[in-house]
Amino acid sequence: MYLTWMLRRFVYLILVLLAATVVVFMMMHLAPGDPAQAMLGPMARGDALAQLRQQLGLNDPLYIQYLHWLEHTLRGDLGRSIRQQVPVSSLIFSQFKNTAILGSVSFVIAVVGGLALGFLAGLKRGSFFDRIIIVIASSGIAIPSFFLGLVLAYVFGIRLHVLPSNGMYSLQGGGGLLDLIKHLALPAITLAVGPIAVVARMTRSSTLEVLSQDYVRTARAKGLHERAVATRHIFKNALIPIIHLLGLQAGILLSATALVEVVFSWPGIGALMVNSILTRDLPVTQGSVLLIAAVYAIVSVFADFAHMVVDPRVHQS
Amino acid sequence: MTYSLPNAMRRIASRRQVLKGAAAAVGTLGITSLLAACGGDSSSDSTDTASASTASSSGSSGSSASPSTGDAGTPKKGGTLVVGMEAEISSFDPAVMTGTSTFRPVSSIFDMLVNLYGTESGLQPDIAESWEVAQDAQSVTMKLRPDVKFHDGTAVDAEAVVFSFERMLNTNDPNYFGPYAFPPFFYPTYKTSTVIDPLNVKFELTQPDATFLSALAWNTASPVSPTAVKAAGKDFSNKPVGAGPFKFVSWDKNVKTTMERNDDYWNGAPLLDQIIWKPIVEEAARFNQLLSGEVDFIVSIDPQFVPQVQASQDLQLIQGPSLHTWWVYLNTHEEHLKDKRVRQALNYGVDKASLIKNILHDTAVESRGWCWPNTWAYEPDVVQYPYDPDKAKELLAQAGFADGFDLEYLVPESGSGMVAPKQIATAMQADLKKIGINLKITTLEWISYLAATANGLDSVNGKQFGMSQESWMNPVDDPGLWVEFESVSMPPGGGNTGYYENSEYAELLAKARTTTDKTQRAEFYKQAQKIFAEDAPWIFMFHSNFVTAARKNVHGIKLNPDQNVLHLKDVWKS
Repeated sequence: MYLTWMLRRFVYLILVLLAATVVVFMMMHLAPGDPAQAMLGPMARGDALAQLRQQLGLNDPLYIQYLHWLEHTLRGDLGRSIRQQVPVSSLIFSQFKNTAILGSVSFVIAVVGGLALGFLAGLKRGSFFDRIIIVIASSGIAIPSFFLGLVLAYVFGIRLHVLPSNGMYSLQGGGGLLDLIKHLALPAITLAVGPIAVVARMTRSSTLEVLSQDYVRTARAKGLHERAVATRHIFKNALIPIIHLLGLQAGILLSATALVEVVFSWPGIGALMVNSILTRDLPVTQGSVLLIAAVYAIVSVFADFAHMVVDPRVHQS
Repeated sequence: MTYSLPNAMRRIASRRQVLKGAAAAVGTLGITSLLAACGGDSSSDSTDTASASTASSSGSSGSSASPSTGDAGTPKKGGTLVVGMEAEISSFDPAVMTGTSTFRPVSSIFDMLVNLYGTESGLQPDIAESWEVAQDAQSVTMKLRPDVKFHDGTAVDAEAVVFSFERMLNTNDPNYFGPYAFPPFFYPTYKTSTVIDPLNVKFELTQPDATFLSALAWNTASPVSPTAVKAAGKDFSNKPVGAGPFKFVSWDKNVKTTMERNDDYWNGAPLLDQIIWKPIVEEAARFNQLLSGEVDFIVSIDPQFVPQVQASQDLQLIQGPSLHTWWVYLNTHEEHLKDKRVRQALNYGVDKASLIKNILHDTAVESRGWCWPNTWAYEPDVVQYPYDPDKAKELLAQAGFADGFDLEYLVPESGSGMVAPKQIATAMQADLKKIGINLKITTLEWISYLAATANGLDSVNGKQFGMSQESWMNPVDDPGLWVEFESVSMPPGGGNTGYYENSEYAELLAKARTTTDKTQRAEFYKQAQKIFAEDAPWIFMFHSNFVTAARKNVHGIKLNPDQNVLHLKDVWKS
């Protein structure tokens, strides 16, 4: 059963990736300007532009260009950056590693923080603590990450001078784990605030729902210690709807890294992708998009799978 | 999940909207540049810019360069200089690289054949000691400095120079790994190069071209070590070997690039132990890093930060004249702008002095045309357009437009060399309103802007525009190809976006291109400038300075008019 399900999801995943690359390819070509123009700048002579376009293969029909790219990609060759003339794979994988570090740390912060806050708020419904959490969660959702990033960078990086607001390691004498953690602090928190808020709200309402269930009353009636009721019965069951949400948040977090990376000069794939779009470096854009979409899609498959394992009802339906 | 991608793009788009709100809210942070970063900053990707470069006196000329930092105390050896760049280096291979932010770090590793130093007018010797342009302007012969070596010990000789050009421009060369953007673009008339003897090399051209020589001041023409290129192949960008004052150490992409002193440099070892180049795309972040001392020197500074630098105890503002020009095309096909008097009125109607003072914080000088003040081809005695709204109105009335009219103005959101495009456009709008001209501003992201204006102003996405904005940073004080491209060559393919036509003017420029005698060439350019100012096909705006800022303990920074090259050999820290 699981196998056919996995197989179906896998085919679906491939289709999603194909669709994503086609859409990006079209969008990049519909946008005015091309790599030749971006490289040569305002004083680009017509003949020089035409020659460069010819050499870069930009004069071929769109579908040919796409198929050409696809063919190479299927053979494991993502092509070369037009602007830098280096293999796309060498750019995107090293950058992705940095995004993965930032993203996973933020994700852990978001999950732990969101679950803890939401669960406690749910248990203590109506209390002062609960209200505070609701206010914080609402503002967390409302504040755009890049804005928060700039404020945090200004306050902690420039004014108080307690945390670095730029880059991944210190330029001189840096490089250790402690150095990395220091540099991670601001961007990771910036990135985590939104998901924390979403997870906390969801956890809270899910907890409230579970609280009203019969089995909770039964557990209490059995004379179980309140802590055992909370962890074994309430928390476990409240978690079910949240698992799916976590998968979704992981994807959202991935897309939000682009702006946070720009604000904190974090050498990640988001910043690379944004820059490649601005310079019309199509192979780099395509490569980054493919990688990001693949990660997004795989994460969501895992989330579905986990959801299915935890909650058999999903499977049956 | 099929929407994952468009959704991601939408997020970026919608965030830009919010960003604008945020920018207003956090004014003190100066996030406009983040907008630029999202909206199309391509300072990294085109050939002009409005930022700065410095130069030490170097070369056999030993010229004293113009604006410099206070050289308090005795120069000290050692230390690391951290430079904040506005974009990551695109490549260390001179054949591949594009963009000013790349040219600058590359210029520390690769010495060039000829160079610009300080306030000396014209080309100065670098690796080439002397040169001669043939009478027919169809070849250039260069004599190289003896005993110059690349960092790997290979000799910088005629063979190496020929190798460096052939591998860039001859697609059949075994070491050609193109396509390349800049080499054929800068050297369209290159035919071949040959070794005369170890120290003499000859470039042959397909047609007479007096501008070929000055185009060698782009560091695309830097000689590269043949040994290193053959060994590294396409990977040369990651293992660059040149003959400059600093040697390549490592390149951690998007994080930092490290270079170390070349003790065997032909012109004496530099003072610094190391230079670290750090890309900090976001304008405010770059400035903040300078404030906090994480970087020592930023070579590109937005005019909005100038007052803060001047007020700071720890910082110094270093600026000097540059070969930058910022202008507005007037579409001579547009029904009102056909009339010269209207174009002149527009020139009288913009208060450039106030704009330079209030928006650019005195980091620019007014322009009277395309040529840079105090350079050999400059003609100061042309028709001038001081701010005079009354005179502007009078001219408009004479032309039959006393009641004013609407005019479409196309403006890039950002872009290299485009110093504060939107603020300036808005200021112009306010000025011209006073003489009855109602500017309707349309803004476009930089690359879209380039694409939109490439076909001229008559048909920008199906609509006729009256004005558009442009700027250019030349590598040498030779107006040469640039001016011909922008004021004679018709679009598409040419940059004369406003369709200016004057056969006498065009002829003067054409003559200047093929004349080898410099005095004679200057004369042609000067006459052309007079005609151009009178015809007013542009609104003559300003020439931006080099604007840089450094910590106060950095000494020996001398500015050069050429922004593409940074000479850091004599810089030291106390």
